[in-house]
Amino acid sequence: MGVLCCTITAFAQNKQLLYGVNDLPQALHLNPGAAITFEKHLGFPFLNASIGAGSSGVSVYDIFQEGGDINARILTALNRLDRRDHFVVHQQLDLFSYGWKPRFKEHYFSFGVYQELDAILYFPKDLATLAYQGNAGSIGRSFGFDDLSAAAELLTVYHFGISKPISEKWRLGARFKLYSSIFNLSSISNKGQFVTLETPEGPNFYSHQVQNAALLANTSGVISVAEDGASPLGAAILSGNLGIGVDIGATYFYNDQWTATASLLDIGAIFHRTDLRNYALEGSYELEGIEFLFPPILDGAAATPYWENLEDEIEDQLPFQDKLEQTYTTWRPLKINAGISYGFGQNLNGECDCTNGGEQRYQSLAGLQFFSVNRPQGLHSALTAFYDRSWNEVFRSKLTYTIDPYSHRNIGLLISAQFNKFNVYIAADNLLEYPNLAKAYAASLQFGFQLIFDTNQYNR
Amino acid sequence: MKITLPLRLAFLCGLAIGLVSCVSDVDFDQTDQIVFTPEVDLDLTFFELTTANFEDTVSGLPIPVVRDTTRLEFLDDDFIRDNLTQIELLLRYDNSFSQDFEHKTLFLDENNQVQFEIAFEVAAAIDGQTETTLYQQTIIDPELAAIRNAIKMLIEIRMLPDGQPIAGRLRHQSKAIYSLEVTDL
Repeated sequence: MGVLCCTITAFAQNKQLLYGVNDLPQALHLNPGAAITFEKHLGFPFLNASIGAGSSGVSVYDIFQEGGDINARILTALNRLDRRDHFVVHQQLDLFSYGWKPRFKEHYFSFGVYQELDAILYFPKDLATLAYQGNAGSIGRSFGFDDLSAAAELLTVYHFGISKPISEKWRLGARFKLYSSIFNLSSISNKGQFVTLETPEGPNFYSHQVQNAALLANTSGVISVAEDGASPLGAAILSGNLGIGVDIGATYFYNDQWTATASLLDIGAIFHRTDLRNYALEGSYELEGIEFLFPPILDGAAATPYWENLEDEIEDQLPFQDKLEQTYTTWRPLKINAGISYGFGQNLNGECDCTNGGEQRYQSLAGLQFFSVNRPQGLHSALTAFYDRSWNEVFRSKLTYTIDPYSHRNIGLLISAQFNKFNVYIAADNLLEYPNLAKAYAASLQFGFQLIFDTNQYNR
Repeated sequence: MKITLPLRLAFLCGLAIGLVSCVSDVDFDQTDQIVFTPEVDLDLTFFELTTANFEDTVSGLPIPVVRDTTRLEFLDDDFIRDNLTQIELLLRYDNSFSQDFEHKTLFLDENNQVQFEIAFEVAAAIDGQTETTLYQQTIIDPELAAIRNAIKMLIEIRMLPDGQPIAGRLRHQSKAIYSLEVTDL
């Protein structure tokens, strides 16, 4: 009675296709309190991984389409994008997982290890405009440094979860996590602005001002690799930058047909203590040009070092520090899932008898799901409508329509097949864009191969 | 259990969706055509000269010429040298002296050899009213190449005597719009 699991996953943070598919072990990663329908699973390390990516405001096609003027398209994109637009890459790789339900118990225990990459870069609208167009046409406009916001992390996650029915109505679950950060970059709280002001009463045409700059970028796990040539393998197993977190989730059975679920994932933080490097720039500065003093001409007298004085002034008033090694803490991107589903059609558990406890397992489920992830500039949310159908004992599919920051035409499809103990599934969203991914604002793909046993139970 | 052909096909289609997708109608070679053309508008120099600048405080004799120099290290920056395509200079004088002045800006190399020169006359005040002189020049190659060879900028102000007492203020402001064309991404 075991499950051999070999899973390759690549997806954006929202896994709307797997959420609530309770005959797949992956459902437990999205809701530790999922009402799973199997009794044991075991996973092995696997061979490959891929990534999902999203861009909320521009596609590859928008810029690189054949013909026309690429510079005009860049300018159009520059004008259209705003500071909340972002680029995301997320990848997750199950290295090992195992789960089991103790005999004569209702608990389900699971543990495992996975590797995760998550990166987000907000479009630095103001700074990009300044770099692309310069300040000449923008006298009086403030260019904010707070547009500069990026975070990236690569980590290994060790986890242990428990799921348990506590009543006829409720099933609860929790998953405890130990994060081992391999690499982290975090620059999410930058402040200040640059502005060029006309100064009719001033000494020169303009006053160029850097106002209240406070820029900070924290890194961990970089210097030892980049400067010392250390292997990241050790950090991949267990680094000095550890964190803890927890997932919690629940399923509520309102009646035989209506079910509600919810989960909070990655309530946790990573404490960066080793292999640190911080970069900081703080201060204010005003430039009005170089003031010539016309000192009396004396033989042998050195010229006034205006340029050096200017450089010194800037360094004094806008000091840039690149050797700091200060500890810092990063919060994991908290994810919220919630769903409500309505079951109808044939009861896959068969007619009520003494072996199935009278539980209904409907052939079809329909409902709504909500997803939200906490990002540096706020929540990114998605709403999904789904239709989930078990065609027979072998095939199950789930069709989704999702509205999210990336698309309003996101159709997704999951197909799962159970051949005796062997399960294979594939799930992809933004299917309408797959014929030409260049036009997609986001794409994610999840697929896996696994052996699953005892799939006919409906665990409340 | 019988697995029907349509279901098998559906499953294979599902796999195909994930595994067979394409990127088309795009041309990444266009990166060669990407050109950033920022225009940076920056103050350059400013000063105010008074009677004291044109009279020797000890002898009381007039000082016909004053000059000062600064290095412009940014002219030696590779990014600037590679991408600067135009400089649009704007110089302004507000003169309350009754004398005209001759303005010279000399761009010098390390050996103080003149690479490029700008010269114009600054008009005298009329009836005691401050006179404004604006001087604008757009510099492109080959003159721009000469400026790229420079590293210092010297400003020379020569008073043109008119027999009147030397009294007044000469205010100078200058700025430049640097046009860049960045193609090497």
